Amino acid sequence: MKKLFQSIQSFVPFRSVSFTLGTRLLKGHFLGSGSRMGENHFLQLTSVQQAELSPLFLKERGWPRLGVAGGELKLSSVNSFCHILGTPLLKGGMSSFLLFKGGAEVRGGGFLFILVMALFGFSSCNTDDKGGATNVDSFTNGVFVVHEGNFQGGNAGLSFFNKYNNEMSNGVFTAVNSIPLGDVGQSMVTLGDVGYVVVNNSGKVEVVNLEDLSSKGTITGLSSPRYICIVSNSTAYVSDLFSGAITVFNPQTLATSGTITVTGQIEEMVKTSSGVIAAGTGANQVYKINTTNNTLIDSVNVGIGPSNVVRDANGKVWVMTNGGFGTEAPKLVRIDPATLNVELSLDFASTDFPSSLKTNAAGTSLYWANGGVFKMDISASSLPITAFLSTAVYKVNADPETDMVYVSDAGDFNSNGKVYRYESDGTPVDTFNVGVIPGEFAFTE
Amino acid sequence: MKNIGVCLLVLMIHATCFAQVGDSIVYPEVQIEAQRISEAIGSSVSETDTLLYKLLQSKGLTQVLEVESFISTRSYQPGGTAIFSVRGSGPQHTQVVWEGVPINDPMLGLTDLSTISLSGISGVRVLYGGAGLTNNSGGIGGTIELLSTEPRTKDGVDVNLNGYAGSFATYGVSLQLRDRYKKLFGSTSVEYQTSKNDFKFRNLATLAKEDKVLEHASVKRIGFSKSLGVNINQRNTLSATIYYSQVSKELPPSMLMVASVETLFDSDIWASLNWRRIGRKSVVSVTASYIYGNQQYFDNNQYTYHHLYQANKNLIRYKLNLGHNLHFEAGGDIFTENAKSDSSYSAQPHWRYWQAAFASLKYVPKKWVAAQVLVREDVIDGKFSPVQGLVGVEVKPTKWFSIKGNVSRNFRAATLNDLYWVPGGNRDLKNETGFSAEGGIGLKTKTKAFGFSFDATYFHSEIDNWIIWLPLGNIWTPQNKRAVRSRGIETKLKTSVNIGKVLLKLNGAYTWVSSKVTEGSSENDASVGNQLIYVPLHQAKAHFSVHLAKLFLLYGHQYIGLRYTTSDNQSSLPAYQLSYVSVGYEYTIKKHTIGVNLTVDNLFNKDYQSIAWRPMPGRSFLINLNYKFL
Repeated sequence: MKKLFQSIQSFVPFRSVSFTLGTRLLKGHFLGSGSRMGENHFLQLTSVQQAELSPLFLKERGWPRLGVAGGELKLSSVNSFCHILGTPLLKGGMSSFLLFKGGAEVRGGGFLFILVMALFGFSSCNTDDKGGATNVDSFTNGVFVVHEGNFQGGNAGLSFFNKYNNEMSNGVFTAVNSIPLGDVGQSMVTLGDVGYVVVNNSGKVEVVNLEDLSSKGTITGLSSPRYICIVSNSTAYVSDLFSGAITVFNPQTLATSGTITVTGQIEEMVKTSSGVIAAGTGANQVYKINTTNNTLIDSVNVGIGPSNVVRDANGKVWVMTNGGFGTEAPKLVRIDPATLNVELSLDFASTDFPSSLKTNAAGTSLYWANGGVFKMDISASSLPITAFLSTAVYKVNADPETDMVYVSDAGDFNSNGKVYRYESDGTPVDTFNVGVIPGEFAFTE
Repeated sequence: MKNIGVCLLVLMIHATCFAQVGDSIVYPEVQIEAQRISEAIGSSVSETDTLLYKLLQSKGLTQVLEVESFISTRSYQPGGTAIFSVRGSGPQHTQVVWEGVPINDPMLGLTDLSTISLSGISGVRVLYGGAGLTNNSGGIGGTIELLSTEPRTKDGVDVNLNGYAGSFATYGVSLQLRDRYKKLFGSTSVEYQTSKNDFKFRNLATLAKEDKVLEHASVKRIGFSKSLGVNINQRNTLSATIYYSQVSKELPPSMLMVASVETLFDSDIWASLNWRRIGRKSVVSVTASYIYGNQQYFDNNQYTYHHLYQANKNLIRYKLNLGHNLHFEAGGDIFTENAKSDSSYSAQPHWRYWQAAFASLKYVPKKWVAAQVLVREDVIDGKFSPVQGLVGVEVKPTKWFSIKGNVSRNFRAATLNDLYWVPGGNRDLKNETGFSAEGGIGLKTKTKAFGFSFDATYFHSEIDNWIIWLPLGNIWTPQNKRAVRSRGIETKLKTSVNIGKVLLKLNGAYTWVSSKVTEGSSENDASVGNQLIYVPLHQAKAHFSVHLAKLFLLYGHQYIGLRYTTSDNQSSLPAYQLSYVSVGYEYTIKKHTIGVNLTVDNLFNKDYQSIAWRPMPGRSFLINLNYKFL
């Protein structure tokens, strides 16, 4: 992957400095309030927009102690050594974000110093290797974690688990594209080397090139989008909470071509051989859509609040309802997508709040969250009593390639969360720190 | 004389001149001044500066408190929803009180400052920490008291008319009339204000960082207040006040949200009937009040909600000078509240019945030392609250130096939303409890030419059983799953110098507040040990003014420190500084006074955010014309 940023510049006190950040060339003067190790150093940037180095922008890159005020880039101290290529550079006085890549030794004014502004890869300067920002060459082989962020908090985000090096990188969308993802990251799907990220309260879908996560475009004008269902290379659907319609768009051109009118809010959708099945939470209906002409052709009532839909190995569709949050017991229902006949209906306890229904790689097992992770074989005729994984869980999913189980834990929903990975037999593998309210997962193809 | 010197009255009393017509007897006017004994001994109390209040009144209560108190406020837009934190506590830990009656919304447990019209309100007093226990419970952080316009003391009429216009299509007018005829007195206030808030801002959410104009952000406010009173005789006064405030505001999207058409309409009615009897050694006050709040929300997704609450609140207060330097006070409250919501409660309103009683004993053996003990108990829907109390001491060993301190225990009841929200309401919630201690010093000196006062207070609060909404599966439900420790230092400086005909004033305040979670909701709760969100560690405010006869020039400056936006303190909003300047002049002919003042806010046109991703205005202007007839 093309390095997002790398530049080594020489600087001595009061000399001019220039470096690139992304595609921007920034110029400034090194103020050199001190030229010795251990002192604070100030790099004054002229002709720079503060927002480009805003705390939010910088924190997405994992620089917690870098601050910008009044056009000055302050390198503040942490009590740690900062290693450059294994060589202790500074003690005490300089920030741990300093990292050298590529290499050049610089002399000037009797003071040796190397400054590199890198977006990723802080190696031993970052004491938290699991979950800190790291170098990502390509986003084509891994798992995305979509962070909802707080409603109206503007802190939605994307993390990426790189299967090449088993590292998790946070804030990847903003790191690459220099803009925040938006408000409430809801879900993501991939199609080839393109990713589609639904940002609910920003009313948009951000489309990214999975080679380098650069933006390919944005689908705007949506009301409150929730989930995408890829129908074909030329057709995809976006469900919505408030618009009373499913939007149809072309995943290649990103152009919207119309809407399918429904009643109330629609949540998840799944493609079957008989059409797309959509969970109509608002009207308590499960809808069937003819994908040839994008029209609603049938519906069935399976209970109050159908929210999640998945397709199993037998081509059947499983629907999970929320019971209207206390109006009736939530249900897990199996229907035949061809006829919409209900084949099996299993009631949860009225005190249960199941959600996040998913299948394993083969479609032979179901997973869901309900105060723990539950697993059920698709041939079962009753709900499991004990949890498959006793863990805090917000969302769950299984890797279609490796069958590894991914669990997100949103904590108090107001701070960075965690992602836990398990083998398909429930053996814990590892844990990563991620962003605020980690939600849905998306797997590259 | 001795009795007068240690008079039990907490207010200055003016005995009105009665003139006898025909068989009437003329008594000369007598003015009796009594030593004012603190409402809550050992506590911090502050009142808004008269000039600043006059300048900021048109901008609303949020700005008044922001500039003139230790309170930290945050606002979604000028005139928009605004909440606040006192001593590092949450917005629900501060009671707002009008005519002695707590007016916080029982559904949310807080007051949106932007919905309060300052019509009929002549100032604001903040009682920090346990000081509010002398009137109400629930103010773990403190109590904000809205001070109603004082009645005239002499027969006649006075008029105060204001008209103003400013940036972003801001216009407003307010009128206040006060009148008195012998035993009858009254006042009437009306206010109208509108603003488009269509200010320019830089959209930081896009790559281009282009300038945009804020859309769909207008605010319209109407306020009305009417009070009538009669001095039945020398000892008995009966008064009635009605207050109405209506705010209609469009809710603009943040820089990251899709444009929406959301509107919030809020109306409040407060009515009170008060009888007060001032005896030789006692004062009795009985208040019956009615509080009504109505909120309606609309958006372009056809989503609406309607919340409505009503309350009858009746209070009795009794003060008695026991002699031997002892002053006794007791009181009782009987409240009935109900709330209805078409979006979240069941179809029927929910009721709450609340009674309370308190007793306080003040001991003032000398002019320079005073002590107080107060005990209070509330009963809510038949359940006893934690016992609350206050023990305070003030010592003034010299004219210029004083020390004070208190310890107090307070509580906050769960709100009606916490109890009855569908889904998720939790009727098993416990009350939050707060234990506070504070100590402070005061230095004061005043000569003809020079005035100086400095106060510094250290406080420490522990709030337990803090109610926090957490997910239980798919449903969020309130739980008592947090504890917070809040410590801080509040300092205030006031200086004035007379140089010839020129008066110079410099006032400043600085606070340091460390408000951290000490117990979290789980083992992995990342908030433990971290600062509460949107509570700045440091705040500083100052204003400098020059007065020459009827001309004044004022410069003010604020520093609001870094604020964390996530509970693990991994994200934050940077600190910012704002300046304002105001110049004004008054011209008086006989009983008529005409004044004009011009205020420039955000003088240096700074970009800042009070709440993440919510744009705030740059430099703005407001010109105010005032006419007074006295």
